[in-house]
Amino acid sequence: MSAFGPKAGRLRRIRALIWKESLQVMRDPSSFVVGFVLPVILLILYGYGISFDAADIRVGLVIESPTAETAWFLASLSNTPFFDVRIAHDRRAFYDLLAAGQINVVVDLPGDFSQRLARGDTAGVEIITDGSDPNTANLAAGYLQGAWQSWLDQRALALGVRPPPNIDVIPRVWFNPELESRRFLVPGSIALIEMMIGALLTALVVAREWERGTIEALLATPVGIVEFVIGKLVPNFVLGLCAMTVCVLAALFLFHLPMRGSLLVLYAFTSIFLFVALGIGLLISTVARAQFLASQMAMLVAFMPGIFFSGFLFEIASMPLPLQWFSLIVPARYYVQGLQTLFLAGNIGSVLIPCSLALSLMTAVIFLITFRSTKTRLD
Amino acid sequence: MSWTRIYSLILKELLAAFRDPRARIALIAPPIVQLILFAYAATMDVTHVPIGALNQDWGLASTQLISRLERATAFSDIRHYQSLEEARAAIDSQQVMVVLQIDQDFSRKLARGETPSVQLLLDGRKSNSAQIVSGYLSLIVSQFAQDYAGAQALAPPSEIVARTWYNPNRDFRTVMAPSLLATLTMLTVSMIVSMSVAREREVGTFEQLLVSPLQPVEIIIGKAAPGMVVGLGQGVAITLIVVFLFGIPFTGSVVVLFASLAVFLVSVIGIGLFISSLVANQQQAMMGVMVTLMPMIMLSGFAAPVQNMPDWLQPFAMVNPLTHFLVIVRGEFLRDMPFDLVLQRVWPMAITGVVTMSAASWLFRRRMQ
Repeated sequence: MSAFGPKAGRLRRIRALIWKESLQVMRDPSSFVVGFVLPVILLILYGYGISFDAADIRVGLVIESPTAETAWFLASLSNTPFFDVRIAHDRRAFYDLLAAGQINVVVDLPGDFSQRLARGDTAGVEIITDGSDPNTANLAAGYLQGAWQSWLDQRALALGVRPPPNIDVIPRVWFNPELESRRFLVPGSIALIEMMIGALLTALVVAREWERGTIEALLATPVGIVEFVIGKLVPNFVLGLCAMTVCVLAALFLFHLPMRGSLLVLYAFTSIFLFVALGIGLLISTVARAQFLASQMAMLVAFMPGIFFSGFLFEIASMPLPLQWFSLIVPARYYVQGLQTLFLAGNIGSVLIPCSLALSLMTAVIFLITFRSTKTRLD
Repeated sequence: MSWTRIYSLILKELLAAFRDPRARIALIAPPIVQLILFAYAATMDVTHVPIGALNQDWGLASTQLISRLERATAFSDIRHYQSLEEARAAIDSQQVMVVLQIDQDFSRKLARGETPSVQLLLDGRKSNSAQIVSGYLSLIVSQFAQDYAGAQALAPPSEIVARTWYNPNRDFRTVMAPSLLATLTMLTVSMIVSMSVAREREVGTFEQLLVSPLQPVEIIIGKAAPGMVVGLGQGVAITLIVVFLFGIPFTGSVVVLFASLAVFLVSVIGIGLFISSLVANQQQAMMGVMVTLMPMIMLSGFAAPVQNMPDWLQPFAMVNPLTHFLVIVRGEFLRDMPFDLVLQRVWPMAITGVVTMSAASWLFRRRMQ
């Protein structure tokens, strides 16, 4: 008897439960899809598919009366690598294309453009951007400003006039010199994958036991609530770390992201985030107790805030103040910040320690609430 | 096909979908909360960010330049650093994403009529935001240079007159809020449809449905009904909120918008049914929906424009119903899209709907035999 005291029995039960749950995870093809296939698809799409860098801005250039001056202007636009220039002699030719979204910006050199330049008057250049894509409109306006400035400088140089006074602005970009959006999108998509495995999958797995009523049957056995929870969480935790490994390998070898921090710190930091995500999933399943409801809640509470409030697509500092406060309780915010730092900058304690502390605090609070609510639900 | 059978099946499906009060709330509340939160959150504009200044010049001109930055609305405050190390530490710990560095000879060169330079130290971890901030800074610096030259300069040889159509302030919310009409309805509807079939399959009642006199087409119509009702209902609610709460103008035709929404929903329901015809339980259905929808949202032009995607991904964007519906939604809200352009976007969605539903129906029938 003494060899199977209460403590030894408990460990044995936990081990058996973990084994049972792991088998269930491994037998279900959807776990494989979520743990291995989805990370690869997402990373490839984020890495190669989407880009905010607007390489080919489609410009419609209207030259109402072609001269040497307008040819000069055209050359400076064509020399800019960001533009794909089309030419017409009537501005109306481009209005329908702008409405159809087939060009991004119309640049109009009016009929008196060359005469005004010759007379020494100010020659206007009219730009019409498509506001229904504000990001591209902003980039297009910025690049056009640059092309226009270099046209002015070259023209002044060629005519032997003193160029208009100017100050050179020399940008130096740290951590990501080529300014590739993939370098900050990849860490963001890792956060989404971990959130999905941690919160969504856990919520579904536990809600299924509630929905089918098997949780009562299970808890009528010597298995306690803590043992049940550990049995459910461990396989998903391992699945999360596997997905993380797939992501890291893809990030390093497919996208050539640098790994300036240490792998040990990366895994430790990911583990803390997974605890939070697993806790959220568990809490949702206890409240929802049905799989459809659980999935809706997981989307609302865990997944969508991870996209919008983690700072990887949208700048938190630019949001209205109440939303900035709200973002403080979104775990993905701390995780993404830490991941971007670990990949691109290094083991920077002033970022990683506050982030880890915030995530640990969230873990503690969520598990406390979960255990209280699970107990009352069963009694 | 028998209309009484279909009618009673639709009635049963609607009851099943709306009977549970918690599920009812889950269908209504989340999309509205998400619409309001995300419409305000989803901005790629950069405003009220702190920036750093490292001024190594003791002249008047650099002080004037910095005081000009202090007045710019894009920046919340200017943090001054004494050395490059200090500035570097501030960027490392993400206190600021940009530091403007002014060299020692800045004022002297400017006074002599030479071209001085300033450096922008940018945090590449946030490359998009850093690029936008550096755009603002360049504009302010070049305006400062022109004003510094001031009166002695002649009239400038040229100037840019910039206008923006359809959304004059290039406001992100004006574009993002209508776009959420497409993505939020897609999320809810595809989940309702695929989870409802998967639940029946998990519990075992789907087999009973298949051996009943109902034909696969009739089952599909019955299963599609709640999705269509919920999708159209959400569409109306979101449109009302976007127009009356956010004050975003609606320039197109309401009839065209909702007719296109119906076609879009058919294609989304088709995708949901197709997923559910492949899975055995609700967990697999949910994961199937996520694996399908996340790439669909990414490759739709929702966040980053389709034209930036590489050629090999363009065909995916073209078969993706969300790509087409986003163009219609933005077109109808913002730029009174002509009807022939809408039609060009409607038929690809219809094809997706027909193909996915036929495939689902075939898979259901195969299971029956």
